[in-house]
Amino acid sequence: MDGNCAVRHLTVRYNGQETPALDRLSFTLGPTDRCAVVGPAGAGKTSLLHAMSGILSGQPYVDLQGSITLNGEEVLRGISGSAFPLVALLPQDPAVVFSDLAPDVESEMRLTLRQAELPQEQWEERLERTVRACGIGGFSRRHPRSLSGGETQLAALAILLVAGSPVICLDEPCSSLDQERQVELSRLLSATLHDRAIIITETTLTLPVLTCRSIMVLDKGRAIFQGTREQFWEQLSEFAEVVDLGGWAETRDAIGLLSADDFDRLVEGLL
Amino acid sequence: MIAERVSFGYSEDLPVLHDVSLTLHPASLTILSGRNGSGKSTLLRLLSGLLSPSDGTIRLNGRDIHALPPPERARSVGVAFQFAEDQLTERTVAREIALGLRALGIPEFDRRTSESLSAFGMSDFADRHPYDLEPAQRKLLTIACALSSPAQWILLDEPFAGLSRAEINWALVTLRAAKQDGRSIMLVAHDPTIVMSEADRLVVIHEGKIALDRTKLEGFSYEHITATTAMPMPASLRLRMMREKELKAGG
Repeated sequence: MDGNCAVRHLTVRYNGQETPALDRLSFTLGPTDRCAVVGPAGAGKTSLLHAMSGILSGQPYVDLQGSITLNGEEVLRGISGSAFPLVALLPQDPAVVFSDLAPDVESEMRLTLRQAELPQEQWEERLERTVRACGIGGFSRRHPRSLSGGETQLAALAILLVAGSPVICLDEPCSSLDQERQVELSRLLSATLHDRAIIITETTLTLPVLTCRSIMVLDKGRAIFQGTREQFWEQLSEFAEVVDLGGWAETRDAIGLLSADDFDRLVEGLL
Repeated sequence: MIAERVSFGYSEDLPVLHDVSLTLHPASLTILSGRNGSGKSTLLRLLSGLLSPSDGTIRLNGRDIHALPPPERARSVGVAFQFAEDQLTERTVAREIALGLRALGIPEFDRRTSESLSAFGMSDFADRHPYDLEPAQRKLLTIACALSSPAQWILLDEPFAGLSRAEINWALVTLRAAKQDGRSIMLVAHDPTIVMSEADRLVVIHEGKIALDRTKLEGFSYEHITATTAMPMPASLRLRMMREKELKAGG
């Protein structure tokens, strides 16, 4: 059954390079599915998110083969520039999201609402809800450039999420988040964004990755594993060379072999 | 390098550091850790002389860092920022590494540049634009830039963010060599366990103050850090403990 988003035989090749950044990748993502893509630098994770969010479409430096359909619309050829607000992409360098035209994070969020052409009477309610969900109340009135690394990541996320996009792509969102904020992000994914399609990339195994029931391991542009979280746990040691397992390798026997429901229940207790 | 009773805030209603004193010694690797927003990057910017403390002083080899002329400061302190995009300005990777060396009038900057490129496995990318690199390679380039300078004090802000274990190990080889050359490295890491085995010292900041400053790190784990500071424990460890508790309760 086709989901919200279907990727078929996607191949991405930059500047006529012989080795493609992504090689015939296929998967589907339902409207409420959450999928984690893990792999080392250069595996093709960012290329996948960039292709999905439409920013590679029509670019002269990249050759795109295959197809990506979002709600029945072909992204690779049909949309030029960006698929926003259908797809929201949190880039690896989150500060790219800041327009530098607004004096504080909340004003940046209003610019997003304007861009997404949402009726103005909904703005304040959405803004408040997103500020609360992202836990940025303590610094939402500050200038975006005055924030620390971790705060920047959450502020950028709030600026994107306020548009209410049905598909959300997060490119290594944990790289600047400490343990507590990684738990907060997992809570945000499970509680507030449970009705969206989410794809999240990481080079390291993190809690947000493990809240996804579907996991893909990419290496050198190819999916070397696509399966459920339980299957991923079972084969965990095989991925040690391409994925930084952090402290999770030692945790496998204690919690990795629980059923999906028991695992989620345990994580629920943490959130 | 000595920070003496340093306080700093970005504005009056936004204090960040309060009365922080810290001495960095040559030939050592110090991890600076703490929660998001605790003031790690701010302290690093103060130590590099990019920010001026509102109170207290930063002294380098006995002299106030702000009294040093900028070239002398640049010759003494090498910095890599958290986001590579904040510091890369040149057209090629080789030019980026050579930039600081050339500006400081370092002799044989070409030879030094190729040595740096080869130490970081970047010789094949020498002529590529830094923005055409993978983000992790870009990050390694910023570390290479900091280490290629003659600076005695190397300050790195989250140098391992986004790097794979293999790349971290690669970077650690060069940091180890720099330490053996007598240089002092301080790196910011929100997860200190990544490099704990390599480090001589761990400093944790909490709410603008030094909450932990320790040199004996063998056998020192996250549980100890959590017990002495407000640093949260990794989720993997917390889940394991929760499961063990569940099993115990179940008989």
